[in-house]
Order: sequence, then C-alpha cells, then structure tokens
Amino acid sequence: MLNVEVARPQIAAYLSAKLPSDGGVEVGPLERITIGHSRGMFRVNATYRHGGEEVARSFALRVEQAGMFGTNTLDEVRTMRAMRAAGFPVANIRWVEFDAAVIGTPFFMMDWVEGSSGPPNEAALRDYVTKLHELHQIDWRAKEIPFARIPSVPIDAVHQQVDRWMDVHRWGRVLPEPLLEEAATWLKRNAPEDLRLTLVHGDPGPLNFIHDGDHVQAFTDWEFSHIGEPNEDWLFLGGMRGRGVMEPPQWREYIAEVTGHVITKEAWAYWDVFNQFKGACANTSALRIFITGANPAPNMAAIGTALKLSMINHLSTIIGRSYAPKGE
Amino acid sequence: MPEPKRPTVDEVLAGALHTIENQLLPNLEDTWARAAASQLMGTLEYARAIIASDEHVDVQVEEVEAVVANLVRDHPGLEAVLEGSAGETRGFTAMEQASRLLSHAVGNESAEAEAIRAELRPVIVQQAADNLAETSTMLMRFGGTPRRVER
Repeated sequence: MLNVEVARPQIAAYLSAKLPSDGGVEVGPLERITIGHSRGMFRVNATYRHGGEEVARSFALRVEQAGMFGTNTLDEVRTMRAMRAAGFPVANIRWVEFDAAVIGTPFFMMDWVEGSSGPPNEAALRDYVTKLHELHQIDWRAKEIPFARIPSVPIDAVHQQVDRWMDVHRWGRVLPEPLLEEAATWLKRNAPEDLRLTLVHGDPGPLNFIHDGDHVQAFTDWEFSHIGEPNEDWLFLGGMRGRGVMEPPQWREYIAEVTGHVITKEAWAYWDVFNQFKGACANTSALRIFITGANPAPNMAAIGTALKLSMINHLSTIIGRSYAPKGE
Repeated sequence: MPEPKRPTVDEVLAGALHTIENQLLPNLEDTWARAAASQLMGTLEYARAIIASDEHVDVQVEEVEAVVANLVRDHPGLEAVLEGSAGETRGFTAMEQASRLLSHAVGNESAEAEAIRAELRPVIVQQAADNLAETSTMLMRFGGTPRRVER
C-alpha cells in the first residue's frame, strides 16, 4: 500500500528526472482522489523553474494495489493509449513505471484533466451515454488495440470473460464459492444468441468519467476493457454503477431513447447476472490483498467479503428464478 | 466458566469504535480519511460480532458435508462428479464438492440434478445469506458515512 508521505519525495525525484526543470521539481502534498478502489489515485501538484520561468503542472498518479481485481498497469496503459490515438476522450499518459524501486509498485502518470467525476448534469449524462454507444461502434479490428485476449467468434468472448473472472476469484478466495462456480456454468450455458463483438469499457458509469459542464472530458478506469458484447457495458451502467442516478428500468428506457439500442428483458437479466458475477469475482481479490497484508485497509475487507456476498446474493436469486417451474 | 482477562477483546474493540466515532472523525477533514475511518468502524463492528459468535466455518462445512453425503447415497452416479475434489482442508473439499454439484445441475433436468437444486442449493444460498448478514456492518460503513457524527 502506497505510503503517501514516503512516496512524495520519490515522486519529486522521479519528476525531476522526467521534466525539463532548471533545478529539480517540487511536489506538494499528494491529494488522494476519493473515487475507486482498484488503484490508488492521487493528484500530484508539481512546481519547477524552466528557462527561468516558474511552471506549475498537475498530474494524476494511478498506482497498482497488489493485484486488485486481477488487472495490471500494462494492459490498462496500452488500451488507454490506443483509445486516445483513436480519438476517444482519454487522458494523456505521460509516464509509465514498472520499476518497484521508485515507489514500491507499478504506476503511471497522466496529465490532469480538469472537471468533475461527481454527479453529472443531464446534458453531460446524455453526452456520456452517447459516447459509450460510439465506443461500441468503433472498428476495433482496424484500431489494433493490443488486448491480451481477442475472441474469434462472439460466444468465445463470453467464455473468455467468464474464465477470466473465475481465475481472479480463484486467486483471491479462501474457500470455493459454490454459487459463483454455478454462475460460471450458468453463464456459459445460457448465453444469448444475438451476441456482437465490440469494444467494451467494462466499468462504465458515474465516477468513472470526468465531465466539465455539459460535456465529457475523459473516460477513466480502463482496466476491465476488452472485446465482447456491448450489453455488458449497458448493464454495468444501468444495473450497477449508475443506480445512484436512476433505477434499472429507467436506465433501460434512457439507453434506448438516447442511443436507439433496445435491450430485451431477457438480455437485461442475463447481463445483470454476468456483471454481478464479474463484480463478485473481482471483489474476491480484495480478500487476499487484505488477509496477506498487501493492503490491510478496511475497504479491502469490506469489498472482499460483504460487497462480494451482496453480489452473490443478487445473482443467485436471478439464477434461482430460472430454475423455478414455469408460472412460479 | 473460564474467567476472561480484562480488558476483554470486546471491551478494547468497543473503546476503539467509540474513539474513532467521537474523537477522530469529528476532527478529520480529508474525505478519504473520513471514509477510511468509517470503514474501519465497520470492520471493528464485524470483529465484535464474530468474537461473540463463531469465528469458524466448521458448522457450515459439516452442514454441506451431510447434504453432499445424502445426495451421493441417493444418487451414486454423482460420485464421478466429485472425483478428485479433495482439497488441502476439509472446508475446501466440502465447498469444492458443492461447487461441482451445483455446476453439474445447471441445464440438467435429471433426477439427480433436481435433487441437487432441491437439497443442496438452498443450504448454500442460506449460508451465503448468513455470511452476508455477518459482514453487513462493513457494507453499511462502506460509503464512509458515520452514523451519528456528521459534519
């Protein structure tokens, strides 16, 4: 776990080596960005002199946390750079560091994007949903985004993602979770037939985009992105992350109104289970990170137990309904 | 009944909770620090609950073992599903076997699959619900909003 007081002079030394300063870079107290748990996020305010002129610049520091959610800096950076090159609103990554000697863990630094990741206004929300729809229309084959896994046919994407998240769960668990193992099989056997292969952000919704006024400035948190079915994104937004904005039935209508993309009730239920499964598996990693002491902060304990279990409770209810005799 | 050393673990935890809530939180300005303090209270409340009840999974494991044994007795064909399921611990083996049986029953309309759904699944669902209830103090505190101390 990053000790911000220890890291501050190290970040200053790092920036001194990277920026064209006359006499080194000074860094103010690191400001923890109070969103997200997958990575440590900090605002870094740097000042230095260059050519006799005083320069002040801010960066966003994104720090790995001991395997949280089974994701890594390299994959995220590759995706973000490819998406930015494709013209999508993504922060500019300045530096990536894998040498643990710098601050003890891999990290990358981005140019600071002005704006808010808090509740958006109606226009910014509409802009976000429109851009997420545009993300799903991008010709990802032409962009050659270097994903670790590229499915050959749509059903492969479902199996790849189910296996990916099951691996993360198995890495983090203390004991097998029978309801997650059941869900993995259920998801593979009940996959919809009308699947597509598109770019999938994987973690879309409020807090994971920066907006300024009526417009989206940047999509953030790309570590779950992959090639798959766009309804995974819509249900992550409408069934999970976006619930503080409106309830799922309203999201379903809103998505259809803004994008023209209609999601059937059956597809909604399936991708709801999928995302609860994904979330529960990812959250299991926090349990390992907590009990090994890699990050003994209390949010890790909560994510790895109660939050995970609330998702298992949700998905097992839907799967249980699918077993009920017709008419019940 | 054995006499406990004083202060007891529960008394220490109760004191820590009181201190965080009434002495630390009112003086914390930073949003992340406030959320962490609230989450810490959730874990301490969980710790109080667990030391007052049962810190072990043995009861749940025994319950699963009994249901699995009954299923295999009534449906000997299920032995093949459980082959090679032995884990490093008794608890791991029981939950691995339950996992395999639930997965075996997905999309399966046989009598043994019906039995798995009728006899094993409700037990596993109830245990998950019990575990959620036991850890729910952490969920309540997760958003970082303390109960009584508001700025």
